[in-house]
Amino acid sequence: MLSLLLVLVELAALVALMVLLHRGSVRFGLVPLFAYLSGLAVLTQATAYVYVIAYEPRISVNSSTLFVPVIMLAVLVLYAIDGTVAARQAVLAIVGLSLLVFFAAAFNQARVRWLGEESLVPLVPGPRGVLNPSSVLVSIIAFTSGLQAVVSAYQFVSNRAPRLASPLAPGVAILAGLWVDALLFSLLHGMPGSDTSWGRVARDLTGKTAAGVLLWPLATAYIARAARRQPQSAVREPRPVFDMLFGLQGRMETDLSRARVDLRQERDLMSRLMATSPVGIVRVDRDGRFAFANDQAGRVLGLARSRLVGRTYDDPAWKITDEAGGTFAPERLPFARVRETVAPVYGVRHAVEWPDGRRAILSVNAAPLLDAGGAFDGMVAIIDDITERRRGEAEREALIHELEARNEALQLQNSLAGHLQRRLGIEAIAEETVAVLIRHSQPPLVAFYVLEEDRATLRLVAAHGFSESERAIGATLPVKGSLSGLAVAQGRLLVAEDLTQDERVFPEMRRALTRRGVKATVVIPLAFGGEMLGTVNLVFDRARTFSPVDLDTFEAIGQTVALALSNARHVAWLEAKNAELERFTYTVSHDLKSPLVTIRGFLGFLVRSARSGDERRLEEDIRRIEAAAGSMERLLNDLLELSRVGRQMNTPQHVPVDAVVREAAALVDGALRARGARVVIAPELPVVYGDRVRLVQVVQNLLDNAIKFSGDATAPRIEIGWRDAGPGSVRVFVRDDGIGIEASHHEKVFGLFDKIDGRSQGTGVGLALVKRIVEAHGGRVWVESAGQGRGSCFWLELPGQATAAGGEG
Amino acid sequence: MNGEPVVVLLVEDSEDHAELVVRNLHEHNVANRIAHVSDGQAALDYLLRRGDYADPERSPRPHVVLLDLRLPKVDGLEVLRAIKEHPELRSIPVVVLTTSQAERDVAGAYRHHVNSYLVKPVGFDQFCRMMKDLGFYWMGWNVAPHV
Repeated sequence: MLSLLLVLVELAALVALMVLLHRGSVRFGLVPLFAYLSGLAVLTQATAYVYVIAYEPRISVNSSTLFVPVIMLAVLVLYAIDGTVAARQAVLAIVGLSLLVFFAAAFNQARVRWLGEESLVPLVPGPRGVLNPSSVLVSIIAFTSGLQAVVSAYQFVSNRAPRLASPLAPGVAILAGLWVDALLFSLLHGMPGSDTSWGRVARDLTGKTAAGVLLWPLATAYIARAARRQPQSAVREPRPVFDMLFGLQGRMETDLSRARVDLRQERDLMSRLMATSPVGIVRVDRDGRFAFANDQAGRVLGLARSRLVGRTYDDPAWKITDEAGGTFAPERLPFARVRETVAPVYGVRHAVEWPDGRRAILSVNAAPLLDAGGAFDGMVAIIDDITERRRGEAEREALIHELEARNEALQLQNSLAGHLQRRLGIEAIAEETVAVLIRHSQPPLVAFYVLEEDRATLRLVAAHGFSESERAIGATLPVKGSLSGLAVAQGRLLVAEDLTQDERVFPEMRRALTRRGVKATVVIPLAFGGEMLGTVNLVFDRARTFSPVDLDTFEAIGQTVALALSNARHVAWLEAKNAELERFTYTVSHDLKSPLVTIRGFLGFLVRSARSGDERRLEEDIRRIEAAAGSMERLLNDLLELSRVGRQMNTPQHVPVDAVVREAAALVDGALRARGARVVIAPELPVVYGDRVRLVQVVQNLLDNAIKFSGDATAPRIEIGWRDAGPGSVRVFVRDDGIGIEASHHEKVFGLFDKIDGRSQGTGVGLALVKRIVEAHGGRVWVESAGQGRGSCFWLELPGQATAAGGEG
Repeated sequence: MNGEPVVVLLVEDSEDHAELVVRNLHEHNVANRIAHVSDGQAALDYLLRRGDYADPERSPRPHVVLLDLRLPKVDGLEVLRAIKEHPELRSIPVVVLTTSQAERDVAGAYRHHVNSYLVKPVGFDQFCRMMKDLGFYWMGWNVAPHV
């Protein structure tokens, strides 16, 4: 019972040891497994050995040949996998276990002495013996030497014959170790005081060799498997032999060698990183000199590496500025900042300019380097050339800016279009345009001009910011001789970036605006469908330039306003037409109804007179009826004629006015003779361009009119002459010395059925017809008269020119 | 009627229409005297006793004015306005007698305080009846203010 307890205590000690070994291992996989295996093997061997020794002083062949090779195999594999760490652990374990064996043997011996031999439970059947401390010592020496032999042999074979290493080395190593173990053990046992039997030595050798051969494939397989998992360097690196026996120095040499390898690898890594880095890397010493630079740093800084090293960071070969080219304070440079704060800096941006004009924008990250005492010892910096990136950013910003400007312009145009949409009057459009422009663009002065019908003057319709006197000066501008007129004439946007110096600006206006201190002006022409309608002038109080976006905006404004203006003009034209039509219907209905009332009225009286036999009245009433019917007929004919004008026109041609006048005079010859009137025709009358038949009609009507209103004169005189009216235009007049027309009626005479004298003959269509024909020719007609009794002069302005020989008549 | 002669001022540019009105009024004996002028200027001259019409005997103040609208020289509506704006003339009843049925003429006449607006009928019988009714109404039934 007690014995069983003791066995359990020993087993618990074994388990505790295994746990300790396990915790001591830093690796997983095969290494811990072999640590366990080795520990287990050593312990089993040791335990068996203790019992063997306890009962039988002779060495048990069985235990030694079984377990020693297994341990050696374990150690070999550990070494092959990792020459330092795990193997050292295993060796420590072996040493520890050997000590344990020693103490266990002593413990057992004491047990036998005090409790008797019955307290021992043999694990291996056989004769009993007592522990021999010298045997234990010999065993430890032999076994440890064997291990050393295993490792050394493996090392040797691996280094000498690398190709054969994997199949050959494990076997050779194990066999070498086993032989050393067996020979040493046997020889040491055979020293004086012990009985050496060569037969037993041979038996031991034979048994262990057989075990080694058997383990050979296993060792090869494990090592090959381990080699696949672990870096080869652990095997290939030449290293001192197994360091256990050589002590601390051997270990230090191993560590140094390993450190050297690590250092070289690290240096390799660093230099490759430096060479391939896309950013410049420099080290600057404590005095601000470049101590190291990689290739990229050379490129970024524009100097070969060799020329860079030794220069100071603020070398005068390059000029350091801020990104925009302004000064960059030296204390803001990365080196100055890192030296000052002894802390890293990130993303410091500045530009570098070389004397040859090259320029780069750099972004620098830098960190301080410290000496052993923790003092500033230079810095390491990463320099990135961000010129391209910044250019891209700048382009993007410019694009965004332009887009914003365009968007703003679009909004302005929209707003303008929205505001003008419902404005039909020209004045309202002008006011609204000015208001919107002031709100959006905030030019101090805005003027809105409309081109007059004569196409020679611009009339100010709306303005903002101008004084009364300036308004008066600019109330009308000549098309020839003003910047606005030039814009109209050329039909394109005009910009005077400094109008005080601009000869094209209307001189009086230039003087006035110079006094005011305004500078730049933009004249936006208003054109629609090729027709010039006016201008919008923006005046700014400082000389300025305009971007393409600005100019596009102005053009767009011009188009929007011109469209509204054109619409307004069309609406006005339609309204005038509508009013004319209304007046026409009204007068026609009135003037046609009037004779009808007469006819029906007198027909009634006619019937009465017929009944009462009043013949005198009968005749008078018939005469009245006849006259009314006649006037109705004339009226209808005239109206028909009037409606034809503009609808039915003959092909225009160059017609000599002289011929027209003579033809017309011939037509009214009867009336002229009856009245005793005389027509005086000026020589060299011009040539006009138009419908000959209609032009004759015009002159005929004017002659008719002159005869009709000749008054009491005994021999009325009618004069026909002409004046030049600018290029491509002439004015022909028909002057009489008749009753004249009061100024208040100068417009009215051309209205339909507007007769000044109710008793006069005619339908009141004649002058209306004249007006329509002349207007159909693109001309105009008006009358001049000093008043009642002072004669009249009818003017016709028509397209045409003087004859080659002609002067003014 | 107080035995006072009834004076009608007829402003009418058409000789024929004037004749129709005069004949009708005479036929029904509604007026003792009809003064006819053929344009607006003459009408104002008559009422204001200017020029040819300076003599109050020859151009007495009318009891009623029959006014055509489309007149030479001074338009009918202008004449109406002048009468109604004149402190002494505005009490004279003015009856517009015209061929125009246009809404703007009607509205314009009433805006200028016309007393009545009549459209000349085209038929003879209607014309006669209107003249008769007109005479009786304005010169018979209607009480004129004392001047």
